[in-house]
Amino acid sequence: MTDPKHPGDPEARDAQGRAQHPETADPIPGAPPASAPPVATPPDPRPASASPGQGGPEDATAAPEGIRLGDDLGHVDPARTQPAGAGQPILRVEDLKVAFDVMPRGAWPWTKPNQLHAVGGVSFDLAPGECLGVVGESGSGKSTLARAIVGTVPSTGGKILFDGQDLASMSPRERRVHRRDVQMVFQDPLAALNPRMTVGDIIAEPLRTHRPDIGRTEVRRRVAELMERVGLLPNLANRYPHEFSGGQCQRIGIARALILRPKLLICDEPVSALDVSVQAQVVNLLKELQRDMGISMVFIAHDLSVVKHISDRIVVMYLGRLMETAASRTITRSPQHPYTQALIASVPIPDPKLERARERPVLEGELPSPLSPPSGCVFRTRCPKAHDDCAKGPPAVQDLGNGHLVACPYYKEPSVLDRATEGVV
Amino acid sequence: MATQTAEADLGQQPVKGRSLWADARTRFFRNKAAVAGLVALILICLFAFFGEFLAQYERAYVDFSLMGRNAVNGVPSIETGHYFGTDESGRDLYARTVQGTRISLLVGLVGAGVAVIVGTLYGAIAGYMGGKTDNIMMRTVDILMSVPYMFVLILMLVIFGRSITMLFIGIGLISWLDMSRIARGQTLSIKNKEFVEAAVATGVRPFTIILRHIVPNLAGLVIVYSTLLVPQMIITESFISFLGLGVQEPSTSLGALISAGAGQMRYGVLWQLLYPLFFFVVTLFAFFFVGDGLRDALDPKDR
Repeated sequence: MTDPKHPGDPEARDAQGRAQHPETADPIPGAPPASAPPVATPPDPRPASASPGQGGPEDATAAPEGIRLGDDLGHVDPARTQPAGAGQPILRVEDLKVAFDVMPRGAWPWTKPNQLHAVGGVSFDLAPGECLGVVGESGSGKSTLARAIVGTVPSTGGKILFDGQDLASMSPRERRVHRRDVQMVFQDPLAALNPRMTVGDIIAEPLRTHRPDIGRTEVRRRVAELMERVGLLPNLANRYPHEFSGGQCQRIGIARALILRPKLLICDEPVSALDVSVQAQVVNLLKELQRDMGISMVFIAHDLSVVKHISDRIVVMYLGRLMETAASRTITRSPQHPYTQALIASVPIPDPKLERARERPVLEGELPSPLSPPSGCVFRTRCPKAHDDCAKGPPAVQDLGNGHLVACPYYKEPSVLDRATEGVV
Repeated sequence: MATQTAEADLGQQPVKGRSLWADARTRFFRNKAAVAGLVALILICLFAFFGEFLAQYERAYVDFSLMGRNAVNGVPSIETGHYFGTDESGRDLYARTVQGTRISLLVGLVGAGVAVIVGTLYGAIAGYMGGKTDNIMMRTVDILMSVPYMFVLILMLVIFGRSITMLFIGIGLISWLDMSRIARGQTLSIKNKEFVEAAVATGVRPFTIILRHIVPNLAGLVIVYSTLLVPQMIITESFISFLGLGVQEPSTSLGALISAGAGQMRYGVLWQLLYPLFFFVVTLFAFFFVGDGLRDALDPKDR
């Protein structure tokens, strides 16, 4: 990982400013305040402990969006950001395949089920502390990819190497131990919280599961600390999920995912169910937590403008395959794969004049059924550059250097999509 | 600065949340019919369990002077102490109604209790596990359901002798089948919710997930169904007793009393039918009203 973009980064600012998001600089009034002074300075077993001067009231007011920095969660464990084997990825996905059995309508119990290939051979690396964005339209297998990595959906092929160990080949019992290091934030904030449990119990559940040795008071203290960290008032711990707004529910979901201090956080469209103004808050919160806690992150969204704001690198998926992988700036500035170009062409420009004057090349047709994907390159049925031999075999992946991979041998050919990025970046 | 301290104070006080249960309770108590049903039910329970202390006669005491003359001398009256009159054998109907109500309530509650505990867990496990386990468990239920239970119950009572225990076992054996199907169906929809997936992703064990995440979310449905199941059980027991196979003398149940009363109707002793029937009908109505109220209170869709 080289230099991830931070909120101060001009590019990120540009993205924010242009999109007319009112936050980043000024929090929206009425956002859940967390400006209360810290409950107590907790004893921290780790050497990088909070010094008593930090986390005071001045700090609290200065922190953007009411998120207080400087308590012990804010400190980066050096061992976590730079593991012994530096340069070794924390997550390596090799040729991951996920297929579901689908029974044809009116089938007998003994008929062979059809295979739905949700993810068909995806490979990527994730460096420690890096944020990888995953984009693609609905049905492209993004969420299935996330679920396969987290382990709520069984993979049918390939490897998921986490810290060098293959999660895919583990028994459920072995894998349960590793689940504490990989946590997930869900798309629908309210559905992801058990309506019959209090928020405090929900956040504490991972802790109760993996650390039964921790006492009740300590659990409550950690929950309060983390609630404050994600911008919720700790005294709301006895409330129930339906008493919170969508953005607050997502903060609860984030707190639950972070209480075990995972090494990897998978965010499955964490903001697509939220209000636009709240989206920005949650994205900024995730970005900040990721930076402060040194977590690696996989961020899934169908909205390219959200993904490019938070990710260091972006992979573009279509029908369960990777189309293009590159640094997020490269993807948005000079996309090479025709599908990426089409995706970028679909991002609206928040300037009515420019938007009206814009020639917008739109992809023809529908996403093919994953039950019978097209042979060869899956994108060929909608690709303006399609050649006859695209149907023959999977497209050769072209390495353009700097980790920019394009799964299209004809990416250099001109097409209508070349003007897609005009005005967007 | 003052506002800041106020805010800090506010931040220190833990806020009590309103759970879905608390919400449902408020809604339930706003429903007048349901509250009336609940009050009636409480009164009937008090009558069934403490009415004995008001009785002037033992329920098995036979007043030979009244035997065969109850249409004239066994009329309900406060003075003689036979509040509800006597039956054809000269036994005090009040004491017998108290006992009959108690037996009927117990049968209903035990049947519903077995249904709730066994049925819910069975259905939740089958639904959550899915696949082969689900298939085997639910096919077993199908097979048990296809057995004509009334026939089996009657056979059991004939072979093993008529006793309350046998009645409880018989009713308990059949009552959970419907419940397990309902619980399984609901589990299938709950287990695809994201909060269950979140628990799986966290590494919570399957049985803990069932107890912590599935069952509490089934509870609303189960409670409603069980309040409607209690009267069903009471009716089943009454039917068995009406056939003369239920509770054995000198014990009695509402069904047996109604059966006896119906037999004596022609001899001008209508009270012998009406008193037990009154308690029977009121109990059933009370349960139905409470069940309806609970359904409205617990089902968020009908708000």
